[in-house]
Amino acid sequence: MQKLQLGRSGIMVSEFCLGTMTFGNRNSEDEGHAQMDMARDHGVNFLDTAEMYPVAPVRAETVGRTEEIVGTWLKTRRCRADMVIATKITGEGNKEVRGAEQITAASLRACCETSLRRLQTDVIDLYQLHWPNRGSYHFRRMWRYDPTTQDPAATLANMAEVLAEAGKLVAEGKIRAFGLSNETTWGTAQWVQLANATGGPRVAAIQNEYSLLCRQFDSDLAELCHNEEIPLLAFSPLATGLLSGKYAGDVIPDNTRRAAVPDLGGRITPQVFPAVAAYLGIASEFGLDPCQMAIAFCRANPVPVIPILGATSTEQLRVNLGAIGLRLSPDVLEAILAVRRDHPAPY
Amino acid sequence: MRCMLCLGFALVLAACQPERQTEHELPPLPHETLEVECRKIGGAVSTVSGGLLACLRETGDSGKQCSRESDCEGQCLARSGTCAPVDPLFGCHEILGDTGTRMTQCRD
Repeated sequence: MQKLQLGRSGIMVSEFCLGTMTFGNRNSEDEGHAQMDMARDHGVNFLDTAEMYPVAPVRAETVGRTEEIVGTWLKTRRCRADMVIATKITGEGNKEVRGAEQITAASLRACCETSLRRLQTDVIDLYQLHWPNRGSYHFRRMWRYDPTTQDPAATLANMAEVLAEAGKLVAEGKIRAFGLSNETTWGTAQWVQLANATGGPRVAAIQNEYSLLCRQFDSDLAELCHNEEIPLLAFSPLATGLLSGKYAGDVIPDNTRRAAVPDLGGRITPQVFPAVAAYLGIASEFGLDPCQMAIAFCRANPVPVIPILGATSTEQLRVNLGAIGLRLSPDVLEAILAVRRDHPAPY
Repeated sequence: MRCMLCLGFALVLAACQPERQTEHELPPLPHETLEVECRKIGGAVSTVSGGLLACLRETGDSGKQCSRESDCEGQCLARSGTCAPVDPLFGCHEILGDTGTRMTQCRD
């Protein structure tokens, strides 16, 4: 398993990260523990969770449950020292979580302390802002995105306050590195500039959606991440299961995420199934498992991209972990490029 | 003793500082002295709670399993049973003391 550094933090992580957002609703605690055991046995040392998890759906009564499950696993396996743990503070506007509270210095500290207790640990290796207070074009909002409602002075003042508090948490040994999620190129550049100006913690990673079907990263943000040495943590590398082919033909199998969330968060569009069919065709033509091809595609990006593998069974996870060491041939990458031109933004 | 020494480096940022005229006329500012002394012990000056500057050193045994303070260069953290990543620790932490007793340590 190749290891990569999170930015300039000195923290080394496996080239795959295990996602945990199903632990506590679609997966029981035992099932979550089994997935973490399997990932660790395959050399994965990097786990990603969040204050608001589990999701699909987010419920006030389950907020924090996934962190608790990760915490009991760390405790019972006595493996905290071997793992890199990433979690997130929820952004503004989710009424299920702290009444839709903004991210501020005070909420950052309070949520960090709560996550530490739930995780039964003393330090969070990567503490991420789940999404910016001002919102962004992610989560399918790009089609009607209007940034003119933003107040740049207020945004920058909030960033300064939050980064200063993150710096104190680093100094106290409660977090090791600071990260972003669902950020934009402008936002990320502001955080980097602020860290340079104040000596605050530098952005060590950005976690945004990235897959064969979601290529928003591959222009301005990729340039910024290269030049500022920030790896992308790619969530939904299988496009919430679409790239496995299990929804091909617009079906809704039982016991799948689509059974709970029929539009897969806005990803079911008239454009998506032709794109999925084209990528499944490449996998078939080159004798690749479609999930492994989609995951290996993330690793083929010249900018460091660490896919976050999510699964609802150890059988799925075992297939996904089969992408370890898989490098796509130039012919496969050329075929993917051709399909992207035909299907540039399916959702 | 180690922690007391480090705490001794803590300085209030807001303290009045004389206006500098030339590099040679005035002694180093307090934070400059702190930075020099801190570097000598392999540390870095960071802002901690209350706007204080403190000399913090990354420990060489961060994450190592521990059951009491003497197992670590710094503190033994109670929840994870691992050695702290920095020394000294500011803020509130659950730690294991010299006898392995769990306690809450708060340092501002």
